[in-house]
Amino acid sequence: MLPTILLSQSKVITGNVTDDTGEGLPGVTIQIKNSPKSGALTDFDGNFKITLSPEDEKVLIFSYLGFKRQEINVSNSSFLKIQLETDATQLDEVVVVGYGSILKKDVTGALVSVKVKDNVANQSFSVDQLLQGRAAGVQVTQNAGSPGSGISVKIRGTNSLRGNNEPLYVIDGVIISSAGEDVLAAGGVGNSGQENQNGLNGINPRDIESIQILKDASATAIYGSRGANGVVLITTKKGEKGKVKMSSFITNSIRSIDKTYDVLDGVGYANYQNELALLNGNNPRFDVGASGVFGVTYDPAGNPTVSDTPAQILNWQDELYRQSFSTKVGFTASGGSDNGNYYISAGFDDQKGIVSNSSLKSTDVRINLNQDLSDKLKLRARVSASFNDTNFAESGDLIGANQSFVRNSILFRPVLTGEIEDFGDDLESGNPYSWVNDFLDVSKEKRYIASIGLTYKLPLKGLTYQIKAGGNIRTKDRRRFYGLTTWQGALGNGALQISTLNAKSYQINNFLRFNRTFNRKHRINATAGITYDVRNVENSIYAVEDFVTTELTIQQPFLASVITQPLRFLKSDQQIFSVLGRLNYTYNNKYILTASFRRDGVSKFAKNNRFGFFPSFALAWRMDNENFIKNLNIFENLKLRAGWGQIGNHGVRAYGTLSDYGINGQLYGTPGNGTSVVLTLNNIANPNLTWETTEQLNLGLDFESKNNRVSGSIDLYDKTTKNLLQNTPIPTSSGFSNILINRGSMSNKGIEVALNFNPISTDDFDLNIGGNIAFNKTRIEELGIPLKDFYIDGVAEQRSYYYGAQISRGQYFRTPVNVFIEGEETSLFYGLQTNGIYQTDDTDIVDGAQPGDVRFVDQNEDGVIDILDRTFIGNPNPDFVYGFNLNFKYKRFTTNLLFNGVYGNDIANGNLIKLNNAEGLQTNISPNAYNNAWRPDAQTNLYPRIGYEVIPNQSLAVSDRIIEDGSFLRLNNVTLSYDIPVDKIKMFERFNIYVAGQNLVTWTSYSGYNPEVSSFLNNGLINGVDWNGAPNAKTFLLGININF
Amino acid sequence: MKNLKFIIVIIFGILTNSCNLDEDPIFLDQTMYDNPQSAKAALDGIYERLTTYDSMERRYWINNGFSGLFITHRQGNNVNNPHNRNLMALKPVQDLDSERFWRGVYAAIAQANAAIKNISITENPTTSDELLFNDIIGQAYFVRAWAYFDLTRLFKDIPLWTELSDQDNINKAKSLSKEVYAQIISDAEVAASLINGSTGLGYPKQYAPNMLLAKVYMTLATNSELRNESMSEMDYWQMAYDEANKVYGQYSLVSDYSSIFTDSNENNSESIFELQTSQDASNSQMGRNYTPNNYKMSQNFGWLRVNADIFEIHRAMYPNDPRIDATYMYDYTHARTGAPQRTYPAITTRRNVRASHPFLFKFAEKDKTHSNQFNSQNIVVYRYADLLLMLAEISNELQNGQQLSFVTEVLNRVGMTPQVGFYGSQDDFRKAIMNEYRFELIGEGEDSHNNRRRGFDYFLNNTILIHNNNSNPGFKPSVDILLSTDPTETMSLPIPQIEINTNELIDG
Repeated sequence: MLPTILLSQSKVITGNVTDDTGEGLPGVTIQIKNSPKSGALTDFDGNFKITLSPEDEKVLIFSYLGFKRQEINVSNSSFLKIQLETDATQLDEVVVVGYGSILKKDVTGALVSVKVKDNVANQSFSVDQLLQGRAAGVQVTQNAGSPGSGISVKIRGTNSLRGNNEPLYVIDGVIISSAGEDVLAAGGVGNSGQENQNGLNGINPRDIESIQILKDASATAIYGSRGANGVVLITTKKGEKGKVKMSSFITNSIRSIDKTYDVLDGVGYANYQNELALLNGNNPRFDVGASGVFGVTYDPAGNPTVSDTPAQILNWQDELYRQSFSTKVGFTASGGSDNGNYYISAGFDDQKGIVSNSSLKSTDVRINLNQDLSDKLKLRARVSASFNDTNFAESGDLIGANQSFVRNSILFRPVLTGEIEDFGDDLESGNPYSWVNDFLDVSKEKRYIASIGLTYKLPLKGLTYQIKAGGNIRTKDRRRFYGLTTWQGALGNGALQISTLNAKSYQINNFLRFNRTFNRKHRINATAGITYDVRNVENSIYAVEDFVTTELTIQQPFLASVITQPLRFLKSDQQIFSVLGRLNYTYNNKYILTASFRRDGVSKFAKNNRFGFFPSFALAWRMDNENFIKNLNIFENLKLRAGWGQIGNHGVRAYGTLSDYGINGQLYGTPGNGTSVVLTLNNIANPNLTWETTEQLNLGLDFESKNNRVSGSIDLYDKTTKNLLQNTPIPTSSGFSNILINRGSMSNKGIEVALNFNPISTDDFDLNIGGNIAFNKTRIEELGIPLKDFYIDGVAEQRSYYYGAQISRGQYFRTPVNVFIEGEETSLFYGLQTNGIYQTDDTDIVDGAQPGDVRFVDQNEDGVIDILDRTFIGNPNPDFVYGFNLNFKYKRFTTNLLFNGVYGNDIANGNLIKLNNAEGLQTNISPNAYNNAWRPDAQTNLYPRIGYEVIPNQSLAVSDRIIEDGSFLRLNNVTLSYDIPVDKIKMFERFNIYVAGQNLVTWTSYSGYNPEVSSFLNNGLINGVDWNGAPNAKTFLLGININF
Repeated sequence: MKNLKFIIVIIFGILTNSCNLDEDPIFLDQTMYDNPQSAKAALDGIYERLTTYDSMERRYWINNGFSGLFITHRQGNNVNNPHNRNLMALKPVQDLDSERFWRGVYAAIAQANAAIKNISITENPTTSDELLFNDIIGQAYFVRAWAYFDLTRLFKDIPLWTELSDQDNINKAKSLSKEVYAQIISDAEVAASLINGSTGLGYPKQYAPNMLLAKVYMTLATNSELRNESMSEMDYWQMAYDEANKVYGQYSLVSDYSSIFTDSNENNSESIFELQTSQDASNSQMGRNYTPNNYKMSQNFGWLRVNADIFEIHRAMYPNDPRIDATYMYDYTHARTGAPQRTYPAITTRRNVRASHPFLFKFAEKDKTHSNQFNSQNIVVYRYADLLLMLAEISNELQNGQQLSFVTEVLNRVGMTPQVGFYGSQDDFRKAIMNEYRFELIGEGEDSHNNRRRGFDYFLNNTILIHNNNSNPGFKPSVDILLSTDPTETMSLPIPQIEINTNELIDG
C-alpha cells in the first residue's frame, strides 16, 4: 500500500496495535494529542484507522488498561505498528499456582500469599519461620532454642494418621523432599535415640520473593498424590531491568533461654534425700548446715564421718544454658536488560544455640537467570547451593533416664559430693556436663537445587511449550560421638555413630500452555503436562565403640575396635509418572471455572494399585463486576469461590508391598567368637497397599473495600481422607511391631478467617493491622477395626479404636497416651483420672494403696485401679490457631509486630512424672513436690508422700496429673526499623537499621519449657506429648540493610 | 529451521519421560531359603533373634527376678525401688522388661515360622544339602518349642502362632496353656526327628529337643490341668525319664565348674543348647548388666544380686563348694582405682541393698580389663548337669533306684558328696534336689520355673516362706524383700499391655 496524500491535507493513519506477545489488542483507545474529542478504537485484531485534520497535532496517544500509554509522533508516517508495553503498576496481579501462574482475579481456590519482608527474611534461618502466624490455617511448630532442629508445618489440621503431614514444598517449580527427610539413627549405643533435624535447611529465606500456600483441593489437586497436605510454593527473586542493584545485610543476635523448670536447690535436695533415707531405714547422706551441704559417710559399724569440704551445689539449667551470639550476613546483586535478568546472592549464617555446643553454620549461594534466547525461546535457570554444619541441633536423645540431655539437665541431682560413688550405677553416671563437654552431634549437609526451563512460543497464538528439568541433591553426614564421661560412652569406652543421607530427586516436566483472551469476554489459561519424578534416597548407618583413644572424636572410626553396627545401606527409591492438566476459564470477568486432573503412577504400590486419578473443579463468581454490587460502590473485589477435588497421598516408605528378607543390622556369633551374617524376614508385606485419598470441599469469599481499607477472606472447608495409610502397631506376638495398611477414614472441617485493615495510608503514615484465625475439627470417621470394649468413665462401650505408640523406651512414660477412636477427634488422651491424695482417715483406699498415695478414680468402682479405669483425660487438638500482626509506619520509622497462638489444646507433659512425685530416687524434683508432699503430720491433697512409687500405676496408663492446658499466645516477632536519610550520600540508595526481638513474651499456663511441642513431630501415633522437649529461646537482633 | 529446533526439544522432552515404576529394593525374597548358604544364614537369624537384648538379657532378668531368689539395686539402691517392689517381690506389674521379652521371643518364633513355611522337609534325606535343610528346619521347630515353653510358663495362656503372620492375619486370640503344651510337644518331636547335626558345632543336636521334652513332661506331671486327661502323673514322669534318658551319656560334664562361665570354654562337652555370642556380633550386654559394679573397666551395672539367705543356704550345705566362688562375687577390687569392693558376706553390716547381697557372677565379664559394654561369653541355655539333676528328680518320683547316682555324678565334679537329704525319704530327696538345682544352676534361667513347677503351695513353702520367715534369721526389712504370698499375683506375669492394646482378639 502506497502512502496517499490527500489534497485536503487531512491525514489518514492506519495501523495495528499488539501486546508485548505480538497479539492484536482490540479496543485500544487512540486519541489525537490535545484534541480530546476525536479518537478511535482498534478492532478485534488490533487494527485501527484515524483521520487527522490539518490543525491537529501530529501526535497520537495509545492507551489501554494494563498497558503503558504511548505517544507517537506521526508527522512522517501513515502506517503504524505499535506494540504496547505492559504496565506493571496497572497490571492485574499474577499469582503462582501449581505448574503455572494465573491472574489473581481468576483464582478459584483457597490460596494464601505470604509476602516476605526483607527484615523478616533476614532474621529467619528457615522457611517455616516465615509461615508462622502469617496465614490462616497454617500451624507451624518449631523451636528456636536449638537451631536446625526438627519442625512441623500443618495446613488445615491433621490430614491423616500417618504422622508426617508436612505440606509439599515446591521451589521455583522443583519439588523438594519433605521436611521430615533425614539421616537414620545408627543405633549401636544401647537405647539411644536420634531425633530428626530440619529437612528444609538450605532454602534461604532471603532469596524468597513470595510464598503461596495452596490449601484446598482445587488448588492442590494438580499435585495429585502429593497435594493432600497442602502445597507451599516458593518463588525466588529475579532481577529487574536496569542497572545493577546491590544490597547487603548483617544481623547480630543474642539468644537466651526463655523459661526454666523449677527444681530443688542443693539444700532442698539434701533435705529430701535425708528424709528419704530415714523413711527407708538408711543413714542420712548429707549434713545440712549453715555453711553448706556436706557429704556423710559411714564406717562398717555405722559411725558417721562428715566431710570437711562442702559439696558442690549446682543449678544445672543455669550451668548449661547460656546466652549466645549469632551473626548472619548476606549480599545480593541483580539487574537486567531487555532480553534477560539476573539475581545473584550469597550469605553466611553463624547461629549459636543456647547450649554452648549447639550451633548452626551455613553458607549459601544462588544464581537466578532469565534470558530470551530468541523471540520465541526463553530460558530460565535457577541454581542454588547451600552448606550447613550443625552441632547438637536436637539436644540429644528424647528418651528416658540420663540418656537425654534435656531430661538430665532438669533431673540431675544438684549436689555433688566426693563421698558418693557416682560411677557404676545406671542412674548415677553421666552428669549433664558430659553432654556439653564430651558429646558431639555434628551434621554436615550439602544441598544443591537447580532447575532449567525452556519455553518455546508455538505458532498458534497463546500456545507455548515448556520443558523444565529440576533437581535437588542433598547429602548429609551426621556423626554423634559419646566421650568417656557420657553414660553411653562410659558403657562402650567411647561410642561413635555415623549416619549418612544421600538423596537425589529430579523431575522432568513437559508442559503445553495456552493463555489467551477471546473477544475480551473469554479468558482461557490452560496447562497440560507430563511429568516424571524420581527420588533416590540412600541412607547408611555405622556405629563403633571401644576407642583406643578418644582424642579424635568424630573424625576417626578406625580408632574403635568394636563394630556395633556394621556398615549398612538402606535404600528408598520412588518413581512417579504423571499426566496432568488444568483449565482456567473466565467469562466476562465474572464467572470463573477451574478444572484440573492428575493421573499419577507410583512405584510404591503393586501394579494393580499403582495408578490414581485426582480431579478437581472450582467455580468463582466475581460479584464486584455485577452491576448490583458495582452500584453499591463498596467493593473493589468481592469474589465467591466454591471448589471440590480429590487429592492423594502415598506417604509411606518404599517397598511396603514386598517381603523384606534381608538383614536386620545384627550379627550372630560363631564358635570361637567370630561373627556370622544373619538373614531375617523384617516386615509383614502388604501387597494391597494403595492410595490414601482426600476429598475436599471448599467455600470461600474474598472481599476488599473500595479504598482498600478493609480486605479479607473467609473459607469453609470439609475434607475427608479415605483409605488412611498407616504404619500401624500390631500385636508383637505376630513377631513384628507394625504393618503398613490402608485403614479407615477421617475428616477435618473448619473455618478460616483472614482480615486486614489499613485505616491510614499516606506516604508518611501507614497503619496496617492483620489477623487470621482458623478453627478445625478433626474426626475419625471410620477405622475398620472390630468393635471392642472401650471404657469411658468406668462403662464399657463397644467402640472401634486403637492406641497410639508408646512414648519412651524406658520405664517412665512408657504407655501410650493417645487413643484413636471412631467417631471422636483424633489422638485423644486416655488414662487415669485422679482426685487428690489419700488421707489417713480415708476409708475407701483401694488395695495396694496407702495414705499419701495418689487417689486414682476407680471409674468402675470395683475396688481395683486397673486399665479398665482409664477414661478420657485430655484433648491435644486445638480449638483454634491464630495470628495477628500490626505494621506501623511513620516517615522513616516502621514497626512490625507478629503474634501467633494456639488455643484449647492439652499437652501431656511427661517431665512432670518425675518432677511432681517425690519418688525417693536420686533424681531432682520440683520444690512443690517436696515441700508440699503429703506427710502423716502434714497431710495435703496436692502431692503424694515421699517414697510414693509412680511406676505401677504409671505402667497402666498416664494420669491426668501430667495433662496441662497448652494454649498460648506468643509475641513472635517485634521489629523496629529506621531508614537513615541517604539522599546526600551517593554511595547508598538505602540504609536501614533495625532492632528486633523474637519470642519475647509467651502467655501460657503451660509449665513446661515450650507449649509449641516439638517432640515426636512426625509420629502419627503420638500427638501433643512433651517428652524432654528442648527449651525455647528468645532472641534480640540488631540488623542493617544497605542498598547500593 | 525453527520448527526443527522445536521438534528436537519436544523429542528430548518426551524421551526423558520413558520411565520405570517397578521397585528394586536391596533385600532378598523368600527364595533365600532355597540356597543352603542363605538358608543357614536364616537359621542364624532365628538364633540371633534369641540373643537380642529383649529376648536374652531380659529373659534372664525376668526368669531370675521372678524366681524369689534375687534382689536388685537397679533404679535405686533400696528395697523399695520399682523392681524390688514389683517383679522381685513376686508382685509383677506391667513392666518394660516383660513386655520387651515378649516381643523379643515372639520375634524369634516368627523367624522360625518363616523357615518352617519356606523350607520343605525331605523324607529320606541323602544329599548333604537335604540333610542341611532338614537340620535347619528341625532347629526351627526346636526354637519354637523352646520359646513357647518359656512363654507359657511365665504368661500361661498366650497367642499361639504356628504360621507366619501376613497382612490378613495379624491378630491372634490366646490359646489355653494346655494347647500350647500340646504344640510344644509336637514341635519338639518333629525337631528331634529332623535335627541331624549337619550344621555342626555351636548348634543343638537332636538331644536338645529330647531334653526339652523331658522338662515339658516333668512340668505336666505336676500340673494336672495342663496334661492329657487319659494319662497319670506317673505316666508323665515315665515319659520324662524316657526322653531324658535319650540324652544321658551323649554329653559329659567338664571338669572345671567355673570354666562353664567363661568365653574360653564355649561349646564344651556339657553344652546341650548354647547361643553363640561374640563381642563383634554386638548383641550381648549380659556382661554390662550383670557384671559386679566396677569389676571391669567399662561402666557396668551388676543388676542381679542373689538374696543373702540363698547364699547362706548354699554355704551351709556345702561349705567348701567351688561352685560358690564361680557363682557369687562379693569381694574384689575396683577395676580403675584398685579400691576394695565388698558386699555381704565379705562385709556383714548390711546397711543398704548394695552392701547386703552377693552378686551373681556367672554372666559377668571375667576380664577385668574389658573396656566395652558388649562381651563374648556364650549363653548356655541347657547343659548336661541340669539333665543329670532332672534324671535324679524323675528317678526319685519313679523310685527306680537310680536317683542318687545322677546326683553323685554332678557333685563329683566339684568334690562334694550328696547332702544328707538325698539319703532320706522320697520327700526329703525332693527337697534336696530342688535345692541342688539352685546350687548348680542358679541364675541360669530355670529357677523361676523349677520353683513353681510343683504348684503354688510348694512355691510358698519351699521358697517364699523360707525367705520371709523366721527360718531366715538374717532377714532385715530395710535390705530384704518381703515376697508376696498371694497366689493370684505370684504365679504368672500379666500379658503385656501393649499386646492387649494392639490385639483385637485379646481383651485383657
